[in-house]
Amino acid sequence: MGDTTISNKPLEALLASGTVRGVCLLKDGDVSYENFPYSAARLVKVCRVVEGLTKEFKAQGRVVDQMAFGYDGGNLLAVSMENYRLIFMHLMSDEIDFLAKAARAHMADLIAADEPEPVTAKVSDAVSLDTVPISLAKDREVSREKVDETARVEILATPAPSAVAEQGSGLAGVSAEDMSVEDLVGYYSAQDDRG
Amino acid sequence: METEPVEKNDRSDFTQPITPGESPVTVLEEALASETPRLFGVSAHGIRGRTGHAEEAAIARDLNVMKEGSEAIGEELGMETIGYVAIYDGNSAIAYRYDSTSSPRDPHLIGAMVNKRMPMRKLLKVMGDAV
Repeated sequence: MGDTTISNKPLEALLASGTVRGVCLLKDGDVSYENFPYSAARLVKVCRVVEGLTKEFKAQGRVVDQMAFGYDGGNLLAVSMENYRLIFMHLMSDEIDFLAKAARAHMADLIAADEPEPVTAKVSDAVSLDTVPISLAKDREVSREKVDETARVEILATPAPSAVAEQGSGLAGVSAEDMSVEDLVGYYSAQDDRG
Repeated sequence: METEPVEKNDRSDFTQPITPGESPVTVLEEALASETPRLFGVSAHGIRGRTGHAEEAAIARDLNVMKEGSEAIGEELGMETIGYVAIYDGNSAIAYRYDSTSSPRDPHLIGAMVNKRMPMRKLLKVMGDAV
């Protein structure tokens, strides 16, 4: 039979214990591992009955995830978890709860192994800056006019421009709002030179 | 060896007579509150419990489904004498067990429902004790 990424050794260990006579692991309804003392055809029929019972209860809005059947010649236990189901054939009815616990632990490992590995960034995965392509979204592009405007607002926040006309620096009659960035930069340079 | 006492509420045991002043509703409420199995007697003549007709009807439906399934599995495995069936239905456990003391011509079953995932071994023991 097929194999899963997780070893089925725990199941084989249960088989070796002596009282477990058969194990069948199903994934998405397909047998992925089996060691059962019956023909494959019979086993498939048993699996179908278990599946049918589960569906019948599910149709009533009920979730039946464990079923145990006792017969004169042995016991059958079916435990389901997500897309997995484990079916045991065992001799002693006292073992039901222990086997169910073992089945859940094994299926939890299988489910965890099925989950995609989380993405983790490593230093070795880093790309050097000069190879990173940069593309700005259009709405995030900043035009030269916008930069100028922003600069103007920042500069206007200082009290200096109101003194331009008064001090006769060549910008007389020009209000601060009408000044370009170049005018203001020129004004401040002149102020610095004077200082 | 486990020394935990077997949970059993005599008032939800179908073998106990209904006492005056007792009603199926109070018996059911008490069994639910104490999370003890409600037992039912099942035979060809009908089903009897102490927790009301609605519960009797519910377990009769479940027992039919479980009985059919267990018979089909037993047939495939060549083991046609059924001893018990138990299921976990969400956070509840439901089971039935053949009464080995009853006549094969008129077999009796013990049914059980409990509102928790009681260990199946324990649940079967409670039912075995009721037999």
